Amino acid sequence: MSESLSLTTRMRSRILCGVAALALGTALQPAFAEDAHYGGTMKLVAVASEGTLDPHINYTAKYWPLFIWTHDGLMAFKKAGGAASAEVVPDLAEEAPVISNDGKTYTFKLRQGIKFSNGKDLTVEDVVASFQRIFKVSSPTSGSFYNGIVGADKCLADAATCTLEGGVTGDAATNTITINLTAPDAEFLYKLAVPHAAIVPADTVTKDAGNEPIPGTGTYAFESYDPNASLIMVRNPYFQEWSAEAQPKGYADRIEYTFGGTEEAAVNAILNGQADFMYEPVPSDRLAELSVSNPDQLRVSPQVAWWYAPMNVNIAPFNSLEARQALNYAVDRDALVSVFGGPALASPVCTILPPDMPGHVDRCDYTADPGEFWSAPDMDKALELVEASGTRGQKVTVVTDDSVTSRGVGTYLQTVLTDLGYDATVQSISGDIQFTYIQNTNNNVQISVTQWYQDYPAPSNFLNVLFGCDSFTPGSDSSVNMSGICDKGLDDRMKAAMALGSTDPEAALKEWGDIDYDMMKLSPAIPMFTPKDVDLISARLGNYEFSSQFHWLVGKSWVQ
Amino acid sequence: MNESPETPAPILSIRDLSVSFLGARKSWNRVIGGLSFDISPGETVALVGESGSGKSVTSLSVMGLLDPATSRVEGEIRLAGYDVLKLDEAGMIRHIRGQAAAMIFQEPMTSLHPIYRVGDQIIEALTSHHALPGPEARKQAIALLERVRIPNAARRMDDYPHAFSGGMRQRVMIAMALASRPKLLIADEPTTALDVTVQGEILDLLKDLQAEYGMAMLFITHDMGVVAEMADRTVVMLRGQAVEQGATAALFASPQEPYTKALLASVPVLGSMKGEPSPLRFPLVDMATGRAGAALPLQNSPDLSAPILDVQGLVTRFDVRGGLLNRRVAQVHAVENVSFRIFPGETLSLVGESGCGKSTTGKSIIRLNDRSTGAVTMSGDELFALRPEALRQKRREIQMIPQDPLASMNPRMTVGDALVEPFTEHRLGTAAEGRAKAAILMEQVGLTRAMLERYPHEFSGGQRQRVCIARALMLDPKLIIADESVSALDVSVKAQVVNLLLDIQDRLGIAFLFISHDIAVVERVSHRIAVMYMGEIVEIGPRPEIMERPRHAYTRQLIGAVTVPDPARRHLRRNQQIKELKTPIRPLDFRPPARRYEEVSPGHLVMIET
Amino acid sequence: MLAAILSRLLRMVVVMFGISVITFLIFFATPSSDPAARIAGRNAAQETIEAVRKDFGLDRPLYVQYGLMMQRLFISQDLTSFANRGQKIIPTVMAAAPATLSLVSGAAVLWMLGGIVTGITAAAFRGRWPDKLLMGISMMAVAMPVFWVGEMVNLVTQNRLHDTWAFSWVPALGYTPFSENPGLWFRSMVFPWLTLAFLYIGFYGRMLRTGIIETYQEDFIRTARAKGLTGRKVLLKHATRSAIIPIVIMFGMDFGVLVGGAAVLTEVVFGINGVGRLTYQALKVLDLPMIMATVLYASFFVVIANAVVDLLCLLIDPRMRRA
Repeated sequence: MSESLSLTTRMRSRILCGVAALALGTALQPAFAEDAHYGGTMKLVAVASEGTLDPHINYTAKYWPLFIWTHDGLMAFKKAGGAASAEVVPDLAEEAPVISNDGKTYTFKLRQGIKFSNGKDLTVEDVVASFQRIFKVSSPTSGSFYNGIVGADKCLADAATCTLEGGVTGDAATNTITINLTAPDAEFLYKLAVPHAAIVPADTVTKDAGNEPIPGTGTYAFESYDPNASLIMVRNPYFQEWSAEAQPKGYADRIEYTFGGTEEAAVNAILNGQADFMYEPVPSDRLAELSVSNPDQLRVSPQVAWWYAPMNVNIAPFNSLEARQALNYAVDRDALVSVFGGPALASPVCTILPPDMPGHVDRCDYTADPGEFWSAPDMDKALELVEASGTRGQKVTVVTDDSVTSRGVGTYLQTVLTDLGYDATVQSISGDIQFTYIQNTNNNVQISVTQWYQDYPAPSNFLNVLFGCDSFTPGSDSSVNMSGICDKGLDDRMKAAMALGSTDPEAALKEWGDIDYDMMKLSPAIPMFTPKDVDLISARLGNYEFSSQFHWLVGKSWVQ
Repeated sequence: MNESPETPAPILSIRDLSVSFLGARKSWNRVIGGLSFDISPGETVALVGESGSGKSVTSLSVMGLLDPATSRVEGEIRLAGYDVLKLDEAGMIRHIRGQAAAMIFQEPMTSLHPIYRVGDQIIEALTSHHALPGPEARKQAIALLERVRIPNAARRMDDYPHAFSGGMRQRVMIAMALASRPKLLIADEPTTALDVTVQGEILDLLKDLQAEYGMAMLFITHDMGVVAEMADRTVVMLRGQAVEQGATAALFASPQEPYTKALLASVPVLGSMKGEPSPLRFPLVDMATGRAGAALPLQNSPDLSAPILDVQGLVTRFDVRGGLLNRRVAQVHAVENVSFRIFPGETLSLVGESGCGKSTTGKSIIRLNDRSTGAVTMSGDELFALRPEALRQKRREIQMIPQDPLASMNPRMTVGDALVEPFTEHRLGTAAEGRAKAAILMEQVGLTRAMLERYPHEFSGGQRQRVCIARALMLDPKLIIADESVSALDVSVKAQVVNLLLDIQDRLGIAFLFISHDIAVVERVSHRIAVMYMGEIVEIGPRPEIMERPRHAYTRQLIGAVTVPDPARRHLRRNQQIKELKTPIRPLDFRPPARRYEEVSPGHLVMIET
Repeated sequence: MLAAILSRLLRMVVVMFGISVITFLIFFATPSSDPAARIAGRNAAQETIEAVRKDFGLDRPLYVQYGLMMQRLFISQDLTSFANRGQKIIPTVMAAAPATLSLVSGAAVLWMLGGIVTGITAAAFRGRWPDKLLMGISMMAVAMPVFWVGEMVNLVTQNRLHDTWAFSWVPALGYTPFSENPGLWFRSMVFPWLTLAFLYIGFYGRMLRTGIIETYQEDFIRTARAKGLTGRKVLLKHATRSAIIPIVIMFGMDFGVLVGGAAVLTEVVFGINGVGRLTYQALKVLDLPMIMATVLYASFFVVIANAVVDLLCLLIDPRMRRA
């Protein structure tokens, strides 16, 4: 899954030429609760707000890192930096669920004594109602994450009368919640740990709550929200820490997110100590300067993500396997990395699963010297393949969005296509339109430039979502399988691998690695590079931690 | 004024004046060289000459109004004891302006500030040199307006210039000039832009005021009739130099210099056609000797069998919009029930004063506006019923010669291209054929083939008008509408262009609708004349009938107002009633009265006054 | 007078109706703008999209959708954003309006004063060094993108020299309502005002200078000089007053357009969350209700500004009063 519309915008226009010496600095000491650090106001800035404050609906990389501090699910990703951030731990559930019935039934015991920020006690009814609400408010992932719950099909067909009967049931006497799935789902616990599965009071409105904060159980609560001005978070007065790894007590007393201005202004504000963190990437010209003048305020972290160029396997010229493979051989990943800002900010990739994704195997065929890693383009081979495909001379349009980086990548692809003998042009479309434009088959996009970020650390998140048959809906703006590839054999293997995951995770991961390799043989897309995250933080901000899931963990940093 | 027996010290004395302007490429072009003349107190001196002779530049030098950055004035100008050229802009020169000498200009329509009340503009002139308390200034301003005979002076003080007609504005200008009781009044073509009847009024007024104030006057004009009427002495200018000067009567009676003779001989004189049955060319004047040749009559007369153009009941009305709503509040009855016919080879002139609807009539005929009703038949076709394409074809047969030839030509097109374009547009032949025809026509209008490669700005005014005539002839028209086509030309050039038009008519049998306010020219060229007043024809008939036996009061007034280059008229007073020219603005529900015409002699129709 | 006002209002309604219809149609003609897919979210299941489509009435004929949108915008006034279904449009626009109004009004005062002084001074010293200097500066002002100027101002006042005595009084970027803290409001607006005004001073100064110089060719200026008026009086009273009419007309249009949202670049660069930025953000995420509201808001101000300009011109120029 993608993290959102805007995680992609985070990575736009990031060019950093010749700054190889950028400090990779997450090397601060792990936090230990020091009382002196509690308190103060954390100030965050962003160019714009990002929609509703309803955790069941908002699907953006800007607010998910906030929701994990205001709301809890039954499970949670561990609030820790580094590899530990991919672990799922019990949150509102007392402990990991009991899984029975061949992996189809999950039984949770709800923690006692937890209160919502409105002072009400958390009960099993709240949990049941929250799952119903996912469907009642047509959560973006209701049909993709939670459709495996028994009764979900009815809820999707008619949201208003959703009960999830037989799917999610609570027993107040024993304080347990039982969730029944129609089939085993190895990724289900991940899905319970994202904000869309947040537990909210049973009496919450069953429509988009918009700017009205919904009470939650987290260490913070939203105080006010004006999308045109600011978002304020304060301590949840009823919060008592129950699990330091699932929901630790936040350091700052107050978190203020203000919207407006420019990236440039945000950089100045941070340097002046008027803000502690900016959401947007630092403009490339400032980044070059800051890497020299304020290296201690920059943090670079790896992400589970890729930039890729899906090729439409259903229309010419990329309905020819040779043509698709030729392009994969011809593209110089090193050139693309320097378009993005250099090796400090990105590394070349050759597989669909990014390097930090479980199941990833270092294997590369589309290179001058096939083996584990990509080394150099093989133009001779590429030209041979184009000749064999008989597509030489055809017109190809590369559709990019209007950011500097995307256009740069598009222009590079244009030169490669021209070198291969195609008549290539680049078309740039406004970023927010481009992403839906390239999905819709009506627009006959041949090849495009786009990005994908993980929603949770499971290989299906990349392979099944981006190249599975279920993600391909001709004529729809929501058809994220942009290559339009639907290979029966591979699709069946992916479904089997997902099922296998619940019984033998190790074997499943190995199978995902093989699927990745076999999928790349069909060459539905060009893997280009995996981008890194760069944060600029204020001088006073301490204990920066980066979660591969939710990026910077705001509650774990202190400002005094 | 008569010359005084003993000559007192002159009020203005110009000695060896020369003026140069900064031209292209930073070179100084001399426009006046070695000019000298004097004006005594109370005396009127006229500066005459054709355009470019330096008359206006002389007057602006006297007032110090030339831009010092782009002009250089040398010599000596003594005005009321001041050495004008030694005064600087910041200091003393301001005191000469308005006090020692005041000035009125050619363009009364633009010479008043459009956004200040006329009263305030006069008060400004009154108080620019002397402090005056407000009420007193106002009283004096009203007195001045009364002096220049503006009716309801007190009420009109608070009107803006746009509420005044041209003649009234010129009166305001005069009132302003009189504000500081100047010793010298410089009048730069003060009546050129005015209608003839108004011109008469203004000339009367100036004569009266001069007597009243005892001012000297420097009168600048190209109109020999005005000179004869106004000036004690006359200075004839040519290319920046005085070629001859002397007492007006003597100068008119026995001009010495060839140029003066030529100038006087070229002037169309009203009444000189008495007894001539058909139009007559102007006598050709030899500019070297100043002697006039014979005036040649036309060989052919009009073919009266069938009219080339038949206009019946033409009506053109324009909406007047107003208020914040911009709704239609009234209508201008620009042309009201006008009927006439023109025959092949005939010239019908439409005369009348500005705003009488004569130009609109011309434009309405060829449907340049879509506000007209009535019936216009051109060699059998009803023009108002034609579809656009057919109309385009028909327009070929009617060509227009405009008043301002420069404005009607594309400055970025050579004259050759401009001539050939309509020819190929109407598919009358190939571009090469067009070129050949254009070359022939250029020679016929007195230009050369080589000039086809030139651009419009490379021609003089008269040459441009010839080009326009050639352009009209390219399409072999049957009717040419000449709208004030010669009005802006200097007298000598005017005579040549008129002769050219007459030549063309004589040779090709083209009919002319000749629209003009210049009655002396009209008298020369017309077979028949129609007099228009407030959108209607008040009298129409053969030229000798109209000119010699005018029946309608307005026709008489019009003819009576024309100036004649005869110094005997020096003390003429027309004593006309002062009036503002009315415009035919009518309320929306106005129904024009039914008019009847009386045929006083064959073809001579006069509107019966009701 | 009443009729005149009514007629103006009627025309305004017609104009705004036309604009709203065009906006609506353009939106739906944009490829891949399907609001249901956008609202449903990234990679939403087809069932979810259908549910949203039905929920929002996006499955109904366009004219019904248009009617509903207008009804919710003007009558029930509860129209909500597509990007944030809980966000009401009208209060959002109304909350953004004072920021824009503060910015544009303050800048307008500065640029009118600055433009007039520049234009008159340059015309008075035509061809000499003050003229050349002023015109050089205004050429720069016109040529430099306001966004860039703003960034430069910020670089100096917020970054390089922020901690020096000269600019330490400049508060952090952003807008503080006047009612909250007038002092802070003023201090935070100073540089936005100057930046926005700078461009327009350039425009207006150049235009006024040209206008005055052209007016000097007019016959009535010659008349005024021939009357013996002082040079100053000719310049200020006779030349400038005529030359200022097109400036007033331009001012009205510029003011209307800026209040309506065209000051977006200045707003964004100084972190002033006004109507312009709102429009820009709405366009970026294809939020039709917000686009509709801001576009109508802008057209409203343009029409109003037009009417005010007409009235002003009647005051200045009597020729226009002709019935």
